[in-house]
Amino acid sequence: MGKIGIFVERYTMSDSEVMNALMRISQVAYHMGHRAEFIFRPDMWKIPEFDAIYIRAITDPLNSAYVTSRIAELRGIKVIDDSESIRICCDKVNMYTHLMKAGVPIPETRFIKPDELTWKRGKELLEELGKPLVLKAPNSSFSIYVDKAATPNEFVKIGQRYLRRADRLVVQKFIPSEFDWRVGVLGGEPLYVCQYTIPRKQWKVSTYSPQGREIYGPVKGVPLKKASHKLIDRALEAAAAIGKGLYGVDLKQVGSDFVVIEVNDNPTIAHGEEDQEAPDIYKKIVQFLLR
Amino acid sequence: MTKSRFGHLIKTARERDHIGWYELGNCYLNLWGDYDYLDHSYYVSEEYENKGLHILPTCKEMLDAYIPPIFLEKAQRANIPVPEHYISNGYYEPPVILDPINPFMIKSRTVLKPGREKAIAKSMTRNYTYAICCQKINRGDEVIKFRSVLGWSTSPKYRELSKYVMEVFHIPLATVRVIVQKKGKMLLSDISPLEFGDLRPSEYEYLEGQISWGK
Repeated sequence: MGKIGIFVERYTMSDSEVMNALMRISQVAYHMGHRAEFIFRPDMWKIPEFDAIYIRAITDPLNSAYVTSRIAELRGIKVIDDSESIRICCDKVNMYTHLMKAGVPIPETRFIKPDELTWKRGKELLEELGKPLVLKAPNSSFSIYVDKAATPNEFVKIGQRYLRRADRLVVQKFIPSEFDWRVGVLGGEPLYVCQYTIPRKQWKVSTYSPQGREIYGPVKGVPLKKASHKLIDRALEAAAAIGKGLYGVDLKQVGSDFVVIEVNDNPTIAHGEEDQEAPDIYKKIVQFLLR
Repeated sequence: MTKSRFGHLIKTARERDHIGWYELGNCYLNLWGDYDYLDHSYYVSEEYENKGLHILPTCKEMLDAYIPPIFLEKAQRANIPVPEHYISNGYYEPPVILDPINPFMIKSRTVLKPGREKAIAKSMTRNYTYAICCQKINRGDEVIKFRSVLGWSTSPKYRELSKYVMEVFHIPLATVRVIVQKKGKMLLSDISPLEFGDLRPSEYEYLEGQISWGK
């Protein structure tokens, strides 16, 4: 019998679909002869009691989830997400560098240092990459700190805001689409495929109302067998460029090909969404953790 | 010995983006001294690592050193004495040293007496949003800081701990917090930045003998 510790934060519990997915994993583990229990921040001392740790909380290296990951690793305990995946995926400069090194197609990308944040450089980039530019803070997540700049002035203004968070800025060519593909990958194998629809009148998968409410489009599951081979292969290449853990690879279709928008560690797994056409997600995660 | 004697060293370091060659470790050394996440020095190491070059500290090592509970766990696993510690959402018992675990705060606090625990916890956790790492201290313990330069300290009594800072954590320049117990036992407690430009003449002199800049 194996014992899985599921590291959660209070906000994990407030999302009913995510919570239902965690209850499913707990039930599946039980039926497989294992046990899974939730651990919170003050329970970190319990980490050595587990055979594996499954993190379901925001994984920025400066948050508690990263501490959980590193402590598990230092104790020789298998963990999703491993700290290297967190370090790479939570820093978009590092993530895109890994994808570029592996030859994975991504939108044309430039890394900007603080001394390059000028009107002149903004103009050059708009000429090189087209209008609008997509600006990302390296530690952006859930589409926060991702914005479009259509003029050199906007480039400087947005860039100044983002450079307060990091010493680099990611600038990319804009690729419009009605939805993003999300391919879940675990240990180098495809886990699920979804379409994340972009809400009407928006350009990002998740966005916020003026009142601060999060707006998402519908999620449509696609059976792995029916998904394009090219899509799956591209997602596997991208995941392999990062590591051997659990990833959510976001892709956009350009003609008959796919470009990788980003690779996320700790991808959302919500009951009724990512598992719509992949009911064996939970079994595969348990097997991976206790292998 | 005055600092101006080392003006050439400071100038060379600046020209080389504070990257020196460390013959003893057969590697490059990132000598910025402030290794905060996603700051310039973090990206300097990241770029070297992504080019496949051996540089210390790596990004992983920077985070290991600067995040208190990871730092303490790593020290403990290397048999370096550390204080008893725990992670909390806000509850703790004085006397204690509190270190924030959150992206917006780096300043730690030492709480010696009971009375204001709640107000301090509320502030350090940003209204209980983030965690804190609590290190127990005993009455009569002394909390001191020393400067570690390439595993060496100007003061002989800190040289052994300083050696660990370099050998275990691979942090070339650091301000090291230590809890000195009543009987004199020293417990490693925290590492924080020590910028290259803030070194003292004797520290520059030591460093000059260990680093070359041409490679």
